[in-house]
Amino acid sequence: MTSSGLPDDTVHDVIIIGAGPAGLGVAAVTAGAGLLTLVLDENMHPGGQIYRAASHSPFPQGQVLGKDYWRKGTRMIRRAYASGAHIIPRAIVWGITPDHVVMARVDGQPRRFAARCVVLAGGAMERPFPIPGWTLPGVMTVGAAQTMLKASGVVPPTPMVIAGRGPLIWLLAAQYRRAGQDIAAILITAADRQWWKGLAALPFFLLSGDAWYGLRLLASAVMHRVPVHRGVMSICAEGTACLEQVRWSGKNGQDKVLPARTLLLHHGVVPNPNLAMALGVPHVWDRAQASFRPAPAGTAGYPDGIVCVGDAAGIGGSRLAALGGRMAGQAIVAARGRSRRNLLNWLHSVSMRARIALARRGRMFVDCMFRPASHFRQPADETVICRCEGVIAGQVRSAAREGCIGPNQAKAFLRCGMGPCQGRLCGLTVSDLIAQTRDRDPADVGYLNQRLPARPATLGDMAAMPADSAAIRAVTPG
Amino acid sequence: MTDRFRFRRIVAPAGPRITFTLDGRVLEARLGDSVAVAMMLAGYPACGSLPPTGRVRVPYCLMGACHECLVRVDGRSMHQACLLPVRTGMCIETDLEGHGS
Ligand SMILES: Cc1cc2nc3c(=O)[nH]c(=O)nc-3n(C[C@H](O)[C@H](O)[C@H](O)COP(=O)(O)OP(=O)(O)OC[C@H]3O[C@@H](n4cnc5c(N)ncnc54)[C@H](O)[C@@H]3O)c2cc1C
Repeated sequence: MTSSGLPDDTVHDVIIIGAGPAGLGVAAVTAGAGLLTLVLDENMHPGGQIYRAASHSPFPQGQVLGKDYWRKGTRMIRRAYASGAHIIPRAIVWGITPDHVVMARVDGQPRRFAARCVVLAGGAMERPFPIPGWTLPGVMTVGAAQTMLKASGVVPPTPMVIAGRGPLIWLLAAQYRRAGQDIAAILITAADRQWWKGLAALPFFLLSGDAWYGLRLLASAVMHRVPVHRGVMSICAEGTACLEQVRWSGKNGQDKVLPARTLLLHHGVVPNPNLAMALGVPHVWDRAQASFRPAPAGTAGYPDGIVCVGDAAGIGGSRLAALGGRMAGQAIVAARGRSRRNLLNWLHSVSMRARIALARRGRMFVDCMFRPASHFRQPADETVICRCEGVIAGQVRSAAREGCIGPNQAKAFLRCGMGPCQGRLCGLTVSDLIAQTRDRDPADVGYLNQRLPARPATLGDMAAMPADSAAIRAVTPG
Repeated sequence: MTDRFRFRRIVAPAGPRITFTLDGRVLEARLGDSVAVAMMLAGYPACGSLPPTGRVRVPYCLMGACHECLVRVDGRSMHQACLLPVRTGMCIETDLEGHGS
């Protein structure tokens, strides 16, 4: 299905950006209630991060990737299609005008779609994890490794070292072991807080349904005897033209070296902020998750007709994303006066609310377990923090000492955040470094200002924009 | 750069064999792969170099965030190779020295 098959000037009731559990959850509800629903996703197939390519997996019926992935993923995708929602993959959304015209590149061609209401369900990205040498070829993220495994059945060269902290590491390790792929070592970085501080949330976590899954993953790594080193304090990727070895130290401070052709880094995931911020969605600093996320719906200053759901609205994982998506879908249907009021619907929404509350409380345990130590978020002076422009941490610190009060001044001086990634891989680090140097809270320091286009767009893309003044204002600086 | 970077397929590819060109070199790929994965499998992951250091860009996140894999495709710039499906006869250009623009 490459096109919605509708004329370009069709006004959709809802356009959803992102075909993960959250976006497909919204779509199933709104399209199911008869609203004209369009889902745009940049990938080749719907499914989002967790269910990437589930309907087109190169592995037969859940082999290697897991039964859950295959069963739940294909069911979710099938339901979304069956609801009557139009799903357009290979559609990279780079902008939305104030009156809800969505600008995208579909199969490389500029397209625009109009809607009454736009749902941002773009999910998460991996937290920047700057270490010395992370720009060397051979260093990638755990998410990248998982993406190529899910979509193409491809693995990187060995010997391979995995480093960081977070559930995705254990998931990838389990999948690699099932695939017979060797892992030389897993380096688990030190945490920010003691694990027992999360104990209060443990009962909720145990009830939330994610605990059993997590335990199974851990057991799989133990059973397969992957060497796991905990409490890792420093990691460094070394090599001349590309990665040759990984140097690391534990609590005792002694350096150890592992030969490696691949180093996979991961420090959890954070909301992908660019599009929401560029649209003017107000953001708040989430202390537990050490990241910015959209403020709750209804907060003053929220743009009209824009809704954020799933991991894009704050990290909660796939279960919360799917539940939140369905709740948001129901709210949209209700606002259009299309929902039926009866006891069954009421009970259903009460039970959904209860499951969301439980999963949120359980999530606090995960947040506490996996938050990376602050010295990894605020790396040593010589570490490159902005990959695009080659800016090092020390430059940001001295700019902060010389009076830069926030990332936007730092950007003007140092260019960090001006490159093609638009701060996705340095934004949080810059805020963190300035906050640390000036002894402020990241909430006060803020984040890099975002503008449209939120993705690289050419003049051809821009030329396809509606020619009204509001639309032009939305993408021109000043 | 090539052999050390050999990424491996561990499952029979679904799509049929096709060819594309990378900086004038004819390479083989499978329909269904992204341009980035096709480049990595062919042993040529480099997408360009960054001034002023000349650091070589290779795909880093494969999910559209890092923008390290920007290439020119059929004469149009600014394509993220990780999000673009490879097609028969596609003409990919990097900005490595001596190639492309
Ligand atoms: C790399 C990575 C791998 C992950 N793997 C797993 C896993 O295996 N298991 C697990 O439990 N959790 C995983 N997660 C966590 C994951 O975020 C959640 O479990 C869940 O997928 C969140 O659902 P969502 O619908 O909110 O977002 P997602 O599933 O992330 O879906 C969002 C979709 O929107 C697309 N999108 C974003 N921006 C745009 C745009 N501008 N234009 C068009 N499309 C856009 C994205 O490509 C994506 O397909 C992963 C996260 C990341 C970042």
